[in-house]
Parts: sequence; structure tokens; C-alpha cells
Amino acid sequence: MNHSLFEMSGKTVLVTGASSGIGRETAILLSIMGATVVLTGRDTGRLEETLSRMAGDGHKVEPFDLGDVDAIPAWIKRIASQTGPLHGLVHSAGIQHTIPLRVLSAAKLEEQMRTNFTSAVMLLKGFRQKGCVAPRSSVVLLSSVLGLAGQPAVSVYSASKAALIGFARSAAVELAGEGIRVNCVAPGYVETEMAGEIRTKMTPEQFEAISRLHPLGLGTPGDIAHSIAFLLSEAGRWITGTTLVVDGGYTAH
Amino acid sequence: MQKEEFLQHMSAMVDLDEGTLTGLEKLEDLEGWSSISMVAFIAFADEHFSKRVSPRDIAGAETIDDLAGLVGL
Ligand SMILES: NC(=O)c1ccc[n+]([C@@H]2O[C@H](COP(=O)([O-])OP(=O)(O)OC[C@H]3O[C@@H](n4cnc5c(N)ncnc54)[C@H](OP(=O)(O)O)[C@@H]3O)[C@@H](O)[C@H]2O)c1
Repeated sequence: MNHSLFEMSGKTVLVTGASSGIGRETAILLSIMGATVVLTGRDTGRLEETLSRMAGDGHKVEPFDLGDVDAIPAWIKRIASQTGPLHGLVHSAGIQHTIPLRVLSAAKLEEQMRTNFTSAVMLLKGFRQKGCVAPRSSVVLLSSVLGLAGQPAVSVYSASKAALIGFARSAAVELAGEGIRVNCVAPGYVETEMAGEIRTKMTPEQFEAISRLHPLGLGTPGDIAHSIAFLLSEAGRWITGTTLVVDGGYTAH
Repeated sequence: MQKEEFLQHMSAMVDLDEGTLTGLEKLEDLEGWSSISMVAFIAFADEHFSKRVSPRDIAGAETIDDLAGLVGL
């Protein structure tokens, strides 16, 4: 086995959602694997905290509100002009609202679609620009098991995560000739801030029920970061347009 | 938000026509009050009152007026 396939030194990766949870853990892991990481999120303090836990140097903190979708491509161009071409993009920024249809407003729908999905499209549009992307690169979008299987009160979140799966397929085909691989990772329930927030809205019995749906138990951010790193690395060079489900068995039954 | 508007939102949450709730209704007597209504109420309290209501708080409420109390009305 060629271990250097997992080597990330000399590679620059942009990670969204790097101020928390899965994005934070991914940034830390990539730094340990040798990558230079550009960390983004809205909260500078929490981005700096991620940075303080990373290995190596040369990483950059670039706060940005991805809700400003039209500004994303120019923002990526500016970053790449400072870091050099990007080898990877991880889109872990996302929001999950638990709202049953009976009280859902179009505004809440659009906020979730914009943060989870529209931003991903504009990130990839920016990433593929000439001068921004290295000759061989890899993009990982964070979908969810809820993009594959249903639950009550999360229909719009599910739709936004399913949209990423469809988008990754066609984008993978469109961008293969440009040397860009595009994949999704679909996690089950991982204990992060997002998950903690959702947990406060459940009774202990409801939480126990969710736990039981995962035969291997609940996941950790590290479980997801490892899969992301695999898809980013040369070990995943023949994988594109797919969704890697990392869910402790949630979708197995 | 005034009480009247609150009652309109509550009607939607329990699947009743607008203007049919007074506030005195017992939740257990309302056919449309379900676990989905509870989730809807939590989302509503968060969106319109920036209040974090827990499932336990809701379990302690007997009437629509008790729910109004949870969001400070
Ligand atoms: N945790 C789970 O169980 C789970 C399961 C399946 C899928 N996922 C997906 O995995 C991804 C990461 O989840 P997580 O649990 O790590 O979430 P998290 O801890 O809540 O972190 C979400 C991240 O998104 C960023 N973000 C949110 N809105 C943003 C905006 N408008 N602009 C820029 N950044 C924004 C936040 O940064 P700031 O607050 O600094 O802006 C934060 O870093 C999400 O896409 C989520 O849907 C999570």
C-alpha cells in the first residue's frame, strides 16, 4: 500500500464551517496530514480557536457570510490570489431548522436552501475559475442521511441535502475534464453544536429513539473528517459524483 | 405580537380555522394537538419570540393560555 496517497502536504484546502463541529475537525485533521487550510465561517473568534488547535503553519482565517451568495466567486478569487491555486474545497457550513410544514414560512425555507445549497453551487462556481484551482482537485459537500431518508419536521433541510447529492453528480460529470472531482459525504447523527441544538428540542425519549436508529451508536466529528480527508486525497482519485454514507448503519435498515 | 395574532398562529398549529380559539381550550381536548404541534410550537417560539421552549415546558402546559405564558404573553 502506498501511504503517500493520503499525504496532503503542499496542498491547499478551503474549509467552510471551520468554526464548529465537522468543519473544525476536518480542518484540524487536514493540517495534521500536511495540508495548508483556509478556514471560513462567520465567527472570527471560533475560527481562531480552530486555528489554535491545528498543526503546521501557513493556515489562514477568512471570515465570510455565505448567505451573501453572489459575492462568493469573487471572494474565492481573492483568496486564491493570496494562497495560490486550491487543491480542495470542503463545504461543511450548514443550518438545520426543525420546522413542521404547518408553520414553515418561505423565508425560513429560503434561508436553509441558501446556506446549505445555493452557497455550495456558488462555491464550486468560484472554485473552478481559472487561477483558483490546481490541475487535480477534489470537492466534498456535506449532505446528510436526511437527504436520503425522511424524518418529520425537517423536510426542507432534507430537500437541501438531497439537492447537494444531485448537484454533485452533474457537476462531477461537467468538471471531470477540468480535473475536479465532486463528491458528497452523508453523515448520520454526529454529536456537534448543530446536533446539540437539535437535541434541546427533543424529549429524552425522542433522543433515545434517534440513538437506537444508529446500530453503531452516534458518530463523532472525527468519523466524518476521516471520510472527507479520504475523498480529498489521491487515494480517492477514481471517485467522483458519489455520496459516501457515514452513518453508523442508520440507512442500513 | 398581540394575543389575537398569537391565537391565529396557534390555530394553524392545531389545524383549526382562524378565529376559533379563545385561549381557554385544554390541549388534550384539541384533536389537532400532536407531537408535530409541539415541534411547531418550539419553532414558532424561537422564530417569533426568540424564546427557547423545551418539550418539558410544553408538557407542563394544560391550555393554550399556558402556551402563551411560555412566550411571555
Ligand atoms: N451534526 C450532524 O449530526 C450532521 C448530520 C448530517 C449532516 N450534517 C451536516 O454537516 C455539516 C456540518 O455540521 P455540524 O454539525 O458541524 O454543524 P455546526 O457545528 O452547527 O457548524 C455549522 C457551521 O456552519 C457555519 N455557518 C452556518 N451558517 C453560515 C453562513 N451563513 N455563512 C458562513 N458559515 C455559516 C457555522 O459557522 P459560523 O457560526 O461561524 O458562521 C459553523 O461553522 C452541515 O452541513 C450539516 O448539515 C451534520
